[in-house]
Amino acid sequence: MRVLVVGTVPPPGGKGAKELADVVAKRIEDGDEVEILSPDPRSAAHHTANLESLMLPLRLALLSSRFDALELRIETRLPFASEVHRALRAVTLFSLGVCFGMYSEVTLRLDSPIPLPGGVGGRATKDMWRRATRIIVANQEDYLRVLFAPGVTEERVEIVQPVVVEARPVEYSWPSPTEPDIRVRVLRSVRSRAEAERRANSARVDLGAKGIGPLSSTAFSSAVHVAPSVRSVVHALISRIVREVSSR
Amino acid sequence: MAKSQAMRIAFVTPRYGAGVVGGSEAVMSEAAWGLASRGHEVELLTTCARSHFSWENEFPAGISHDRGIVVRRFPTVSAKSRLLAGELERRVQSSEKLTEAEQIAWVNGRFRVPDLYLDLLKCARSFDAVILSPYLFWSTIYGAEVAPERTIVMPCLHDEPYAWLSIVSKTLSSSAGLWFLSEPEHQLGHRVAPGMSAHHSVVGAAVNLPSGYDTAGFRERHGLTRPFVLYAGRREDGKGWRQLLGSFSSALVGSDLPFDLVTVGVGAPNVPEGIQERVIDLGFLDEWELPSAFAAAEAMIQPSVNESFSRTMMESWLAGTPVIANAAGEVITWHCERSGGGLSYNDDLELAQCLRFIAEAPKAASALAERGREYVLANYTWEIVLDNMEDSLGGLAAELRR
Repeated sequence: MRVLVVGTVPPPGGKGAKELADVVAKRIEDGDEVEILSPDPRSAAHHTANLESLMLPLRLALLSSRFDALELRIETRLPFASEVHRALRAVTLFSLGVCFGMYSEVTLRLDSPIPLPGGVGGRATKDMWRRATRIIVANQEDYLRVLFAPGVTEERVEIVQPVVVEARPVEYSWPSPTEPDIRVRVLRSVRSRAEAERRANSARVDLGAKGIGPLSSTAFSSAVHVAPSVRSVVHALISRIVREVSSR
Repeated sequence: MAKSQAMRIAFVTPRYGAGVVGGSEAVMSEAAWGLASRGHEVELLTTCARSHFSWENEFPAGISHDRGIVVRRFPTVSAKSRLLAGELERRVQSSEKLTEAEQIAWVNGRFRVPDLYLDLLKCARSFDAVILSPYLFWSTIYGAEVAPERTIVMPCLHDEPYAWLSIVSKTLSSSAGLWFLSEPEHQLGHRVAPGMSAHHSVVGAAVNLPSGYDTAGFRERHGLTRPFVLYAGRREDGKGWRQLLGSFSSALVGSDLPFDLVTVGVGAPNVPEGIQERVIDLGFLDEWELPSAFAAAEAMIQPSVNESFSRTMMESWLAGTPVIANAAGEVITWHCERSGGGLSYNDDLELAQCLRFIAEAPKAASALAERGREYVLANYTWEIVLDNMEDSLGGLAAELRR
């Protein structure tokens, strides 16, 4: 299956990004052809783009012909910052619902707390919830919240703990100077952090990133998105929406 | 134990004097000065070479006096056929099996000091002990043949292709005594030369406690405005310099590590483009300036796996500076573990995390360095090491008298 995964993957993005990378790694292991679209230009993704608000459904629409399935992680700034105009929220979520219809399978992953300003409800969200094949939440609280959203049926909602976060937790704190076995403690942290990096790098390799070698700092800090012209995007989206509406 | 009995001792080392960089050479000269200061009659036989790359005669031949010892220099003679020398070197490096004749040709291919050998033939038996170091040079391989019954080799062994040549094994086995600088080197000695003399010991090596450190002055004199980590030693592949450049470069990428890499020593640093702004070569530092380099550094990195002791680690700890060592180096890791004061890294990512620790937890890093300092003071002062050497020399002298 050709799968488009949308969300932040490492190096940036912390734990959530690593979890998404693990999801991708698992899919690749299962034989899927995966490409990643990330809102963060520093991500080791196949594509990066501005995915705020309406830009997200625009991109999804554009890429839909190349993929069978979509795995979208709703995260901070994807697609909304903490505040968004009600109308823009409604149009964006409605458009997302439309776009979901362009994929044969849609997995919606929701960070916790669910980063949708204004909550999960509203008529505009109905198609989005209805067309998601799987809705994955992080905990019971979010599970109950999503169940009350329009168009959601219980059997499609799952609570899934982070996928592959390996047994050994990363020790991020350094020991205090007075600890008796300070060297052992420091080395444990060093090895643990390095192992986490190694996993992230390995995920990058799995993702087909172009070589994991040292990313140059210039390339890494570049935030330039290469994108199709607004005109062509709008054109494509409108024609999709028209087709969708007329098929109803 | 003949500690109080003055002895006549000869030290034979391929290089000695100002501008010479090398652990074995440093231990030999300081041991010679130290034993002389304890009342022994010490002569040091060496070549006129300063550089271990060219072996060109830079110092004048002849006799001089330095810090209580007599220094006798002999000119080197270079290989007849550089082509053959290069070919043999390549074969040794690739661990090919060489015949004994080829091994001898290899030893002769670097440099020879026939006059030193002839001098030893004449006067070796006038000494109570002839101490030679390191193991892989003409001066030691040939010198050990002259008076094996009173020869002590301080091999400074590393687990490298040279060490496994049969002529090395023979040299170590035929010498009356062996001095090792660390326990892992001692164990390697047993593997390399199973038949080595029972008269061997781990004497260790020592570093001098500087009278003081001038960190601010050091930074100012060398225009160092940012925090830095230090590499001190020979800039060559065998010492892990190139690997360190690669690892340091990786550590910098995508990180906000605040450190420059400052290097002191000899050899062309050949810093690749891209990190040239972050790698600062101060070249060879005078003896009075070097301790301040260690003290001014946030950490000292020891990337070399070819160490039989690692003085720079000791100098760093002594200066209160933490040490980050390549985990593949048996001896340097041994020091880190034994002291509880050093970190070790297995790859670039771990080195990056070690550097991050130094940057983020300076107090904990200082606490580590303090353990290292205690370790040096407890084990590697000249007082202790010279006692060990005198014990060994006394034992050898007693055997000779029998």
